[in-house]
Amino acid sequence: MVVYIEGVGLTKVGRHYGLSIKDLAAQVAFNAIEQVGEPEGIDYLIFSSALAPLQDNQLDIAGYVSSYIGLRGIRALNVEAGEASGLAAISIAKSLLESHQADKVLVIGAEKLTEYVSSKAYKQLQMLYDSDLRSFYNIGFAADAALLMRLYMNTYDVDRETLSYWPALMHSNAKENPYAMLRFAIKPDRVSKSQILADPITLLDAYPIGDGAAAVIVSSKDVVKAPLAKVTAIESSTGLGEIELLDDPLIFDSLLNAYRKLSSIADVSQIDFMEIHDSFTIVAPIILESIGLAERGKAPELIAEGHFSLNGDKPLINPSGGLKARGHPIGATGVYQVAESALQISGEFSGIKVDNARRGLVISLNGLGSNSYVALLEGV
Amino acid sequence: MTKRFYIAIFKINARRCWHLHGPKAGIHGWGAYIPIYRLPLSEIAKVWGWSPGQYEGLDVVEKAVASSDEDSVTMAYEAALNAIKRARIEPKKIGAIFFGTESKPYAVKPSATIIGEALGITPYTMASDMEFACRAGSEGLRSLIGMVDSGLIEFGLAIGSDTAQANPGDVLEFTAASGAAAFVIGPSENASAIVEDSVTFVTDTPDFWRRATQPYPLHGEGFTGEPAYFYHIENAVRALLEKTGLKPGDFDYAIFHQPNGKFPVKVGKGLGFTIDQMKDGLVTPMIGNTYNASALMGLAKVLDKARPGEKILLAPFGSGAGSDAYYIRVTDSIEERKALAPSVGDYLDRKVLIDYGMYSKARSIIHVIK
Repeated sequence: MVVYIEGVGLTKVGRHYGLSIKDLAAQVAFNAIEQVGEPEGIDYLIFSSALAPLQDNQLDIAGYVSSYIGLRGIRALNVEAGEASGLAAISIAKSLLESHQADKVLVIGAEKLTEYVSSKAYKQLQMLYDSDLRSFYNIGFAADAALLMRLYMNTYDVDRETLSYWPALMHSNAKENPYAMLRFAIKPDRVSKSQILADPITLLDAYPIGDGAAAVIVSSKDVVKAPLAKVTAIESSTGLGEIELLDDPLIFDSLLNAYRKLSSIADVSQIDFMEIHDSFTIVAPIILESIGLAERGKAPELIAEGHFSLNGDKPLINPSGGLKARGHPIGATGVYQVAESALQISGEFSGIKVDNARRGLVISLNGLGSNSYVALLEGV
Repeated sequence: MTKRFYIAIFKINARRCWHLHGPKAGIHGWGAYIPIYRLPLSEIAKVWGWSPGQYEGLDVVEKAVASSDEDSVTMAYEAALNAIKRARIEPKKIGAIFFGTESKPYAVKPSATIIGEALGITPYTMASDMEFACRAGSEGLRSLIGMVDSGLIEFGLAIGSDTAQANPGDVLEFTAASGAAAFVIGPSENASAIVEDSVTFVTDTPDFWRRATQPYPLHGEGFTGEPAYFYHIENAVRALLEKTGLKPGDFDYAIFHQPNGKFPVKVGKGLGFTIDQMKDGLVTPMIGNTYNASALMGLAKVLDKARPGEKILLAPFGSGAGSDAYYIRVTDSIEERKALAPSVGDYLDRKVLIDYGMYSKARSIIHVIK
């Protein structure tokens, strides 16, 4: 069943020292509610946060936020699927509408990563990977992506400098996005020269640590008044998410699976733009290759040649600047992606505008694919 | 509305009560001390595996390192001796010693009495150690202005001195340095420079701290920037400009607290000062952050050069957090005092480069069982 995105609220990703997770959530929720005119009719709050218990010492964040923003009495639930939490939350909201458990769902994604020193945040981010195999051994949060990047470069004989065009493209897109954290351009040759996090991954290959919140109101056909876009389909799949366990680590198996499911129920041709999960430079080409947008080992070359950019052929990828430069407030990211896509389709996105954007694809995963979500958004 | 209302009232009062500026006091003598050892930042990066990009952005080349037989008290003595030489007064005339540091040798027992005794100031004097992270020495300076102006004392000694500590391997280690600066404050008559006006701006902002039993401080990384350093200095300086009716362009020199080489230039430019006004007061790029001596040594360096009639803006900052802003005017008496003690430049030129091993020994980073 098709559901509709009505109101959206976004805040700039950054270090919001003076605002709590509840404050951030309230800001974007009020913006979204203002767009639909009134809070009446909202019968469910789906919250999306992965780190609230660790950064904010808060369990049942959805329950507390619903009262905090004046919606006491509605039903509320927090959804956690690591980095994929946001799109998982939208997916749950859609299911609630489809099963007639709700008519109008407020989805808020909010995350704080700067409540403590960064070493603590890095420890928490280790938990995105299989803890028995990773955090138990104190393996850093960028280590898996570093191994994957090395494997990719060796397997396909791809140069490190060719991969650097991705972060440069993301920074140039984010420059136009008022909600992006890193609004400055970088030249590709600066990427490999920046500080090493986990060789060959450098600081400019990784998403920045920032707080953020985004909200969308998802409505059923019966109650929707002024939709920005519709969510035609969402599919998801679990996967191993461990590169050493996969026969073919250079494809995200869960993403491939989710994308196949989506293709079987919806027409995924002629996509105008995509918002994808580029947590690290290497994740972007593997996503593009996993869904067949580029031949295997060829995505970095296409990116370097200017494909997927404003001047290239459609689809345009990450007009927001992506996780790399818009920022990646873990549990909020998927909600950002959907909110930005809905605005893109309605022609109201305040960053880079995709010409005649009618169809957008949103891709979100946790880690290297323990969970993958794919959503198709279309014009109404 | 309320905030704007108070600002409006403040402006009206500031203009009406023009004659109520101050209190005023004079800087009679100034002095500094920098230990001879310098550790290049590249040595720290080599030992801890930092990439050069990690310290290059700090705009600091080397940091001054106190030797095994030096501490914040011995450095304070050296700087104060230079200040008293320039003031040309009997040490006994000093009626208060305020020692600002965050590296005092004794947790309980005043360091100010050790310094006072060594300099021949004791026993008829007030003496106490002040604590406000990097601006304790400046708090001492501002207190003395009021004490002198009220007639409670004739002369007072304000000192900022630190052998700054940093957890080995922490980014703080790149800049945590050693040094001292001291000032003899007295009446406006015959002073080298006159502190015409001053403002203090403090809030409870936990950007940097050290618990009593901890050997090294902790810090909130990026939180030490915008919400702490920049917010407090900008507010203190703007309040001073408002109060005095002066504009950034009216000053010949602008000196800010210098945790690294980058921050003071950024905050100064943001407030409307030029690099020409700031360059003479910068010392951290050459010797690192001497904490309580940081901005005060910048003032000592500027006084070594300043001509009669020139105007100086000084804005120290301390974590926790607060900033002072001073408007200082140089007088004719400055010239005859410059040569009476070594200048900051003399200490900057006097240096011996050491490696990380020697630094570890000098700063007791190596644990030795005795």
